[in-house]
Amino acid sequence: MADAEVFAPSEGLFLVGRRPQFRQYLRETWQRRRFAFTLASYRLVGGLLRNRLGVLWLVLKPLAMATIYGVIFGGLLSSAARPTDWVPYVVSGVFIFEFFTGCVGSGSKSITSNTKLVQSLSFPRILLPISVVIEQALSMIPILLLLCIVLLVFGVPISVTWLLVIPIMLLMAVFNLGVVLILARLSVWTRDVQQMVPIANRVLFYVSSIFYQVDEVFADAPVLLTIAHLVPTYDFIALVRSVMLVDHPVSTVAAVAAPIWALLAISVGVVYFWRAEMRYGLSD
Amino acid sequence: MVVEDAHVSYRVYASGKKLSVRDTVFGLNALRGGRGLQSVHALRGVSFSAHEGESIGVVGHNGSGKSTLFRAMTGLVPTSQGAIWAADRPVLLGVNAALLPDLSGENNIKLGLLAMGFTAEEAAERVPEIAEFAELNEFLYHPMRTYSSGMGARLRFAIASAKAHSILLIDEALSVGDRRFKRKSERRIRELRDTAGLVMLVSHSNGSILDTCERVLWIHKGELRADGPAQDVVDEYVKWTKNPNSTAVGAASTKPVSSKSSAADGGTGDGESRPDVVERRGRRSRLVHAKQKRRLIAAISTAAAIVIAAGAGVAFAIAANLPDRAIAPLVLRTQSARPTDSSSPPLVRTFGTTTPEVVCTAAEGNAEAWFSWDVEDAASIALSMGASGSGASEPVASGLPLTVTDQQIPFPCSSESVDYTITAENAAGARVSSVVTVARRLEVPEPRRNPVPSRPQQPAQPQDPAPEEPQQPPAEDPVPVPSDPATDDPSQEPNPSQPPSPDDGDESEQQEDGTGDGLVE
Repeated sequence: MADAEVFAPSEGLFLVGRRPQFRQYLRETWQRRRFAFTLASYRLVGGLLRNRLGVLWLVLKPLAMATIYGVIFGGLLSSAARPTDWVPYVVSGVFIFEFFTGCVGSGSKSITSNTKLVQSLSFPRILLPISVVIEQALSMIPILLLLCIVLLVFGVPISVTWLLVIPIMLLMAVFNLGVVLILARLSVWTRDVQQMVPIANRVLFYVSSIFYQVDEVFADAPVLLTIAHLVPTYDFIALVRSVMLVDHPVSTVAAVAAPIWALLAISVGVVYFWRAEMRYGLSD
Repeated sequence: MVVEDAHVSYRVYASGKKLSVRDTVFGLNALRGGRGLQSVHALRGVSFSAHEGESIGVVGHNGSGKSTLFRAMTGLVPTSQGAIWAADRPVLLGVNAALLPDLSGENNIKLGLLAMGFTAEEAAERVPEIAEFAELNEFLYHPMRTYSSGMGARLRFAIASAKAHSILLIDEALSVGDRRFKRKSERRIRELRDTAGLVMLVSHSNGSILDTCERVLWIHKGELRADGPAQDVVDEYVKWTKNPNSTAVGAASTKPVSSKSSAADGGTGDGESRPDVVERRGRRSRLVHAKQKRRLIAAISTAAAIVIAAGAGVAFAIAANLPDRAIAPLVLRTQSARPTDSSSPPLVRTFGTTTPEVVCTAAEGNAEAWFSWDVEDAASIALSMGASGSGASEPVASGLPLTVTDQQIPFPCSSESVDYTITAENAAGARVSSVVTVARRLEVPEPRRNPVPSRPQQPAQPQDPAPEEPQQPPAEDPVPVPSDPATDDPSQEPNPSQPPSPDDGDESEQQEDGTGDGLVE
């Protein structure tokens, strides 16, 4: 390399393009947390403002979903495993599950759909998945209010335990973030992950005891019942039901599994995401 | 800042060659939409060092690797080989730098500042200043997707230059701006260079390079072809561009130019045996190996995914059949191999009662019990009964038919429980018997005479070396209703305390179906 006078890299220079230390990475992420928040709120509003009904869609979409599921599984197909408080049961399940679907759906694309942003500005990439989860969490607020209204309309007595929904949803947000981080990195590696996400969502939707009572269906198969209780999305839905509905106690397995899932997902997710920090600019 | 033998290769899904229709449709790659994973070697070993206070221009034809070099220098793209050192994190300002097209210019400014590490207050403070520099006027509040490319470039430049970076890389950012903005931004670049450190600039406008830079790098096909004072290198570059034999091919071209920093004679040396060529080949074969390894991993994980999916399907099928199993405790479905030999002992397929408990109004007289059986290979069938535990047995009937449903047999109310024994004998004299115990329940007179059905009794001890035949209830067995099991008879098989009714099972099944239908959303 004729003209290049290459210095020994000793004069206080550091290597470009090496991923930062884990703690430094977290610190930098924390310093720029406002970026994630601002991005989330702008995107939430910006994405909806192009529609005529705007922010109203935040509520209309889950309401329509709940109506469809309620009619199909409540009116057309009847089932013995159906609880007596059918409408609150289904609505709470569908709404809470929506949080997971939303996070995972857009979160898995959070890096690949923002390639330009990643390639032009340097910031901890983890902020992009985080902002997706924040965006979904913000959109959960009107949904949860709607849930309260629906429950009241269908005669579920209001109680102080309803407030426990907030910590449960935060726990679920942590879990979602972990899953999103893993999926975001995987989908940079291979885009096929984004095609598999809706399929996996469907499967989870049907095993998460949303329109049947898993305790009734698997009453005679304790092993399957335990497995069904360990499904993470079910755990969070069951927790929410236990604090909001009457007579839907959560099983011990599910109550213990939920925080464990959240911890496991977030710790694996953050480390896994961080390890590829410097490669996210490469996605085409 | 030191760049030491930097190599960058991209992976891109592209065919990499012209495909015929046949290839696209029938080729193996059609599975991937006719594309394969191509490795593009965009930088092939660039080395230079730059110091604070310098401003360096970079020239080269389109696709020569200038932008890739800049991205590698900012760490947005990792180097596949070599290293890049810097005193501070370099900041790239590029024409491709898109922020969020759906958001307004104002929001983009704010986001850009936050991403660069400003606090929220600082960002809010600086927004008007940047907006003024970008001269967007009322368009500031329009979504960025409605901007013209020049307006977008102005905004991006304004955002990136808001912070005094010690190393600023500018990638053709100014070429789309109008003349007025160009002057303004050139002034800004000089300011930045004076206050901070290093400015590197990619431009196709030789005029602006000569205006702002003292030193110029010429990147050609991913390699550094010249590095020197601005005027000299630009002159060489201009000479090359006027050479009719020169072809502008991208860095990914398969025949790289090996000569570097030599005269601009366009000499493409043969270089078959040169060490760097050998090294390049070694790198290529390593890449191929890595690719094969990745393919293998992908194949294995696909297979694993299929297996898991199949497992999930099986699990689901089992779950769907559970309601059937729930009834299963009532029925011992084990089928015995039917003996084909005519000399084999008779076979009592089932022998059971629909009345494991008989209600007696008093401890005398007779009540009735009902029995059903199904016997094979027997010449004669006899029925006897005796009080449980007494061992005594008196014949009740003989010469009975092979298959009987609901035969009424008297039950002596004087006994606590009675053993009914069916004995089947074939022509050869082999005998097999089976015992069913019926318990008595004393009750105050009450018109409850419905036969309390139950599961059939377990087969009793066969007297001969006959196989222990599991029992099967008659198909017409009435719907079992849970009843109090016999209290004190140890031989009495207790009824399941809560046998699920067949209704339950049916409905569960229906429910499963419903779930299945729901899949078609």
